[in-house]
Amino acid sequence: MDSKTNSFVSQFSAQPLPKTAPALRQAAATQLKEMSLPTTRWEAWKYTSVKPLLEHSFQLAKGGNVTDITPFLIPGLEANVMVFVNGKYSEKLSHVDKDSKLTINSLSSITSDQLSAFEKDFGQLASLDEDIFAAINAAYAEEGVWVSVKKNKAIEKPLHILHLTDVNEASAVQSRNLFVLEAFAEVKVVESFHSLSGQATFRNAVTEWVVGENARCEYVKLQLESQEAMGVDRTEVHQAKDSQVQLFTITLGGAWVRNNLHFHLKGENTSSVLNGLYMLDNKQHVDNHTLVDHFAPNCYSNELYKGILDDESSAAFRGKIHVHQPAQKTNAYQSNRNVLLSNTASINTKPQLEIYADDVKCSHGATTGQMDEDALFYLQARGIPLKQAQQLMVFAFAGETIEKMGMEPVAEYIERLIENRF
Amino acid sequence: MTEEKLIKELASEQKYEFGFVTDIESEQAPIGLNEDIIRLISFKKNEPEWMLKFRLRAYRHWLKMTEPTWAHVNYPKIDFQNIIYYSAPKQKKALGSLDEVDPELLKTFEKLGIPLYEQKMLAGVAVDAVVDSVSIKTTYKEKLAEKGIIFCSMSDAIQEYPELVKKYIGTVVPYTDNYYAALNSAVFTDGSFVYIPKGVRCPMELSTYFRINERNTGQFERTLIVAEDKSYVSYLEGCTAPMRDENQLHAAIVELVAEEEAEIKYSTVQNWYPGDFKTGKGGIYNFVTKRGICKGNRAKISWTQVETGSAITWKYPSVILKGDNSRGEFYSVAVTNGMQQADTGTKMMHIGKNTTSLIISKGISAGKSNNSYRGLVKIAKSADNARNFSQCDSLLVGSNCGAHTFPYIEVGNNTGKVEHEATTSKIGEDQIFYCTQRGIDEETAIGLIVNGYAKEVLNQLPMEFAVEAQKLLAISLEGSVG
Repeated sequence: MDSKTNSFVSQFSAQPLPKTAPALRQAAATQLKEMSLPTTRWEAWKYTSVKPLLEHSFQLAKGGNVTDITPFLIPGLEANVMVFVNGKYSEKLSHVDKDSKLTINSLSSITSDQLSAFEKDFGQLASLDEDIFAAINAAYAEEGVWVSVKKNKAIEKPLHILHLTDVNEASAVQSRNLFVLEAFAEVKVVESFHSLSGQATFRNAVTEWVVGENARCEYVKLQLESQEAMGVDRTEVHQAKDSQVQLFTITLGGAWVRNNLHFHLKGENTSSVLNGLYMLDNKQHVDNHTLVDHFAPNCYSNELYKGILDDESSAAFRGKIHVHQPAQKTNAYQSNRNVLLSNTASINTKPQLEIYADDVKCSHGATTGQMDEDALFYLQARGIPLKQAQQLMVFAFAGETIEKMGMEPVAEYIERLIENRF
Repeated sequence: MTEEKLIKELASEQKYEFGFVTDIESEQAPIGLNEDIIRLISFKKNEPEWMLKFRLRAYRHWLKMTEPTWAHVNYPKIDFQNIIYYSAPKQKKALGSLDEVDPELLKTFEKLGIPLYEQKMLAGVAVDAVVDSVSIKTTYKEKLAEKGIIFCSMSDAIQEYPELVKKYIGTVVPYTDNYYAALNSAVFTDGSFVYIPKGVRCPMELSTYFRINERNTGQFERTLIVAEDKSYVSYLEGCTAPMRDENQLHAAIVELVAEEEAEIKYSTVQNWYPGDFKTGKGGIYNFVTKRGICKGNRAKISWTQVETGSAITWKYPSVILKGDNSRGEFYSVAVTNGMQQADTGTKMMHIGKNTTSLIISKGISAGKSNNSYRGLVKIAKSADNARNFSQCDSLLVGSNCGAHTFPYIEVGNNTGKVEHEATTSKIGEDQIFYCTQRGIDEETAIGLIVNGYAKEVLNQLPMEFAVEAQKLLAISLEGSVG
């Protein structure tokens, strides 16, 4: 481990290892000693440098004084709400319905008789290879959400996980989620991230989804932090046969954000929809790194990431469809479309296909351009001011990803957020 | 079933037409590589001092570099000390006329179907033939000279036009560029040199045939084409090698310089020995650096390649679009069969304003082969209104092969427009059904589909070679193409 890595890791490793899943945590801590921070010479980090992370000396976030969460709730969304303040679960601010077929727990409140069920799935998907952030998380992340839905149970009420950071020094926060859906189970989850103070923060989040046969889920990730916030997010989704997953990654906030998303399509006939939207200004930088692994035949995946970049913002996108040899009759689509609003914004995109099966339909596409001048002119000719015309165009462009959302109040909430950016 | 039939036919051993060995005495340097070998090559070729310095600088830089491993190909490590870096067919004195060329050699070129006899030329194609490391004969030299066009071997150019060579060599592909470019800069033995003066439109296709003949030799040729203002040239290269059990290295450099309003069209029909069909034993490692620069405004460079041979192909013909309104084009058909591996594509670097580029890449993988497209489109901050369109299609035949696409798109200017599209599919059952329904038998239907699939690229080849390329496609996918 080099000295930079060492000082970065020491910001997290000062504390003892958490009590849950001790074997896995010990293994991660051991493996961590051999690892180093990625550099732009690594293919996976070609367009994102970790330098901004090293400019601060982060303390693990402490305390936090939040009494009112209403400004962060999604209007019209009736949901179970779990609130984390500076990474700690706040039972006082949360509200979760009791249900025998559904376990919603914060990791710190897992009882000893639940432990074996939890440890069975915990950390099974997010491999630590070449991912030092996942290793730090696996070793030291104490808190997060564990949701386990029993067979045939459809949860009507969505779950809203709310992460708030309220700190007065440069702080780091970790979170770790595990969702386990048994056969025919159904669940909807919104996870949103907000900052209350303008301090530099670093968030290291890992989420694992184990989706059983015929199960369904919708998962919306809303990154709405301040423009001082930095973060690495890793999401792993494992799908058994006939399951359906719809996932949204919406990034409006953050100074420096890296999202790693990995789908393991292990069963036949699955359907996976990956949607992304990033809307950036100032000097924001977002890197979406996605991989869809088709292991089984007859699966469908569709990925659409859209970006709107203004000022000096920059974004990177890596999308990879990997079709393994047994995955015949795969239908896999991928598209990354970007609009650059200023001549100082930049985008780097790598849409990739790696295909080892012959009977497949795969396509990918990437476009980058500016707003269509003819369309703007058309609107202006009809008496719509330029600014409003631009807003309409951005709305229409972004709309394609948002309109697929099943939870209407969430879609409306995001639309309002986009509106407020103008 | 058509599909099964096709796979079966593809799986059957196919012949490599050009796998013969010519028995000619040759003069070789000792095996291995060190500064003395480089001095020997330079001495043998009677090179000026600056050329030797260039080689040694490149060699010393090469020693500091490591082999690249990022390509999507697998092969055992190359032992660079087990290669003969200089091999020339033995000849006593400079050749005055074709009659003095070794008859064995002439037979070789006859077998290859390359007309060295000028009087037998049909279409008026000037040919430079390179065997192992040395240029054998350049035809039509005199006729071209009338127009001021220089078309000769690189070694002749270094002797006769040293100031031209010195001015341009290594300006597009510096020896620091990559591992194989550094190696080539140190040990290159020959190649072609083309110079088109201002305002001249080259009246015929220029063409070079490369042939590796000797065992254990590497071929390191270097081609340099300079097109002055408002000139035009179309150039074609073809490559073959004998069937051998060991792998042979081919590491070439091609540099193109297009000045204002000049146009260079560079076509390649690459058919090096691909190695044994079943075991993958032998075959050529084709690690080539090709790059052109549109230096002046409104210049145009177009690469067309038909890649059917080589055990491993690793090449990315690129265009630097420096002049305003310049244009780069890349058309490629890459066919892999048996155990072949190809990692090929292009780079388009937009620097000038209003620059445009077009990429059409068609991959066909069969057998147990792997075929990758890797490309970069970069729009620099200065490249206002740059435009790129890329289309990369892959066709898979059989279930043991792989087709991959790794495009990189870097956009730093908001007035730039970049579009990339890629698809991967097999020959559609509905396409075949459509043909059979109209009374076309399945075999012919597949032929139609594959040819139609590659047509966009084949159309770009000069007429004489389009036919040859189509034949090559047919051989590579033997039995399936009508």
